Amino acid sequence: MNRLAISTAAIVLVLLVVGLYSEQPAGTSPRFGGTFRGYLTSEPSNLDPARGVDVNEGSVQAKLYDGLVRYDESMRLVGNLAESWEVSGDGRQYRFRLRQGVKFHNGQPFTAKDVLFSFDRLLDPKTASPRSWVLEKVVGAKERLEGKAEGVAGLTCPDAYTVCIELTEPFAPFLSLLSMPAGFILPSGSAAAIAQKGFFEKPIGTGPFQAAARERDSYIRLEAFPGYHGPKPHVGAIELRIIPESLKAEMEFESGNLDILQLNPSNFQRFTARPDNAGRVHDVPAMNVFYVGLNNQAAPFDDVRVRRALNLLIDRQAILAAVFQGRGVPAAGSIPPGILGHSDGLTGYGFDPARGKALLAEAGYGPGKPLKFDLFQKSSQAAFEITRLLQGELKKHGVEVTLKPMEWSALKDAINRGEAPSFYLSWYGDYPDGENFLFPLFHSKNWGAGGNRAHYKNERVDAMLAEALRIQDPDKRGQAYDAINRLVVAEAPWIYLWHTPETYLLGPSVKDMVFSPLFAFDKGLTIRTAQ
Amino acid sequence: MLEFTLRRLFGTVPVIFGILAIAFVVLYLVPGDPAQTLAGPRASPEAIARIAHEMGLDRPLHERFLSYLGRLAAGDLGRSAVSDKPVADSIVEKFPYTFKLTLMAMAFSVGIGLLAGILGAMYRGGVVDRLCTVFSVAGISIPIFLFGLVFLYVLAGKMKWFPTSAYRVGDAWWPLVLPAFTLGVRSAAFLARIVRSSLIEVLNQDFIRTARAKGVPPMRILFRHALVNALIPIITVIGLDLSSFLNGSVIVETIFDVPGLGRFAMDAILQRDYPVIQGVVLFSAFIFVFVNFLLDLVYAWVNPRIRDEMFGAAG
Repeated sequence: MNRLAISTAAIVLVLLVVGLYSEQPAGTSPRFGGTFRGYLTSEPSNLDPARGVDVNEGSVQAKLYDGLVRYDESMRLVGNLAESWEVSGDGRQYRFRLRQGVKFHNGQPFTAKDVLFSFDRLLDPKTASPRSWVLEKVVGAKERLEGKAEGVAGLTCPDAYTVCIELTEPFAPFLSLLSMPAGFILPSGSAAAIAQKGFFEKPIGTGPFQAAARERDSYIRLEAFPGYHGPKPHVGAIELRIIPESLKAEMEFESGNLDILQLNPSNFQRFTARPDNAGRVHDVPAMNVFYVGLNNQAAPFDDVRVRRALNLLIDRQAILAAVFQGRGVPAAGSIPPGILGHSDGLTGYGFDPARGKALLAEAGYGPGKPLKFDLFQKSSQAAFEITRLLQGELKKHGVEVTLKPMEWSALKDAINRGEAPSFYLSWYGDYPDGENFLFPLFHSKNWGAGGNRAHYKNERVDAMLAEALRIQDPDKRGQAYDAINRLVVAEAPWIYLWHTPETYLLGPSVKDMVFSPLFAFDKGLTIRTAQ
Repeated sequence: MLEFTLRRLFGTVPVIFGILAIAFVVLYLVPGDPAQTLAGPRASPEAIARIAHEMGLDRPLHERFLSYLGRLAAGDLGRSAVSDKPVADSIVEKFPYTFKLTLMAMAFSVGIGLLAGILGAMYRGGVVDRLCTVFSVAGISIPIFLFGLVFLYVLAGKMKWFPTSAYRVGDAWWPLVLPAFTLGVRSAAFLARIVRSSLIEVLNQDFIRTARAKGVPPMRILFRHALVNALIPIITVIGLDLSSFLNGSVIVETIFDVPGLGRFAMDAILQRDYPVIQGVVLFSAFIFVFVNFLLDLVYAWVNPRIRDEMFGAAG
């Protein structure tokens, strides 16, 4: 290369750099400040939205990226990268109008191309995404997943700010699914880097926060993105430490090194009793259900009388009072209060030991031949606190339970294979919809890892679940889910336990913060700290 | 010397190969499906199968082992199944913390252990000896997590003498003092016992009595004659602790937020992240072999008889 070319290239480069810098709008200094110091209970191993499945990963991803839609703090589905959308009368065509002027953290403009790129990537067999089911109802998704097609026929963009999605059949919870991390949008301009995998060490999204610093197993620091398209966050940075031990988190909170502490039954009393913590305790109604799953396909729980009996022998109110200070509500079915499909009219089993024992006797169990079974559980303090009480409660009525604590991965394996006769677990919803509390948990095609760990099967329930997905009207859909819930409860595939709130204690430097039941996927927009 | 080194180096190859093979089989037998762990809740069997295929889990065990060895020979430790990050990069990132922690813990361990052991042997049966015995019995029998939590709660939390955590420790040493002390206490207690009993054994031998009779000053007898001859078991204990510390301490690293190898390995085990577990096992095996090799050299240096055996009398 000759000198002229080199110097020309140098000049062009300088001009480019100057141009990039002068493009930053002057005088729009952000009004945010302060750092919010929170923590996660495990390392968010993967910040790839197509790969992350746990709550800790999701909570970081929600701050870095945006989806087309999201749930706001009051659980309403609102536009995020989509400004508006229309659904066709038959429920199969979705047309999203995208927000204009949105920029990624690296300055690239956001367009429909990025949506197509991200959705196509989720279905690309090379991505091997465990969450590809989010888009499985899109026309051509199956072919793409099986490697039989290059693109996805049902994903199109008529112009730079419109995205059209065609589904193979009406699927009412589709928008809810799009709010999940798997629906987050990545920059198509970084496709090469994303394919190289190094991208997610310092990911780029359109979210209100950008990745600033990170040390694995130690912390991750997110800083407010000045170019965010929505209402700007109040706080300048969020620093999330990785603290698996709750005792450690307590100490750090007490030493003033954390601004938030999640309370649990064992430390609740100690922290809430202190007068200086008054007004700083927040109970957040969480979208969860705790249960003892029963393997419906094997003795003794293939007998519905035994399953019903166990439901009648547990005094839920007493345990809630003893362990959760009376917070939380007994679960009548699997759908928590406040979620589409929940009905106060469903009362569930209640506590009726006489009837329970009669049912057991009918099934052939009594003082001469007591019911005995193994209860599999995670070997954690929190699980023991509950299972010991359950064991004691059942013992009073002549039922002998042996606790089988196991390490988490091994436990899941045993349950999914159907080797655990009974197991203590919980289910936290990904989106506020009855579908999320019935379809994965009780449809027979989801046996095992799919979510139906009780191996429950009822063809009528299967058919009704499939039918409910096609109902567009929310009220009617809610009624449909209530009906299914009742049907399942009558067959008692689980011992239904309770829905408990999550409780957080805020530090003195937090001025304000709005908690939502989907707190784990909060975007961090409502946190205000004293500076 | 060179021949000895080479011989030892070649001797390690089957050891490391054996460790890798055992780790591979054990991981295969441990319950918990890595593809399922990655897939998370609500994963279809097809999705799990796709992930298993991507991870190569659908191939027979021997094939997987051979291809692993092949990649290893090319210097590739693979990528984490969970984060996609190269395993070698993570080890390089994490090891310095564990290494610093080890150095400080060894300093505590050797310093306190030698002192308590020597004092115990010198004043055998006296008050000092009893105090040292109490220390070593307590140190050995109290589990390390209890030490860690008590130190953390009292010394860092209540007294505020130390930081509560080594988080964002960077190049600093100070936040590692308390974790290193916790890690060192147990090993110091054990060392104190070994030092005391080895010293007492040597002090009872004839040549010491001869030295005393000749009027050699007591301190000179202790350090010049007794301690040197009692060194072999002491070095063995120090060496074992050294290699175990270098492989990372899960408990101390978790309690004090040290982002070292121990926590990294633990996370990988919980998530069934096979490439990472294999990588850490391999690294640990190397450390162990390397420390043992160093130990052999130290033995030889300390004890001329061993030196002659190893290098030949002419050495």
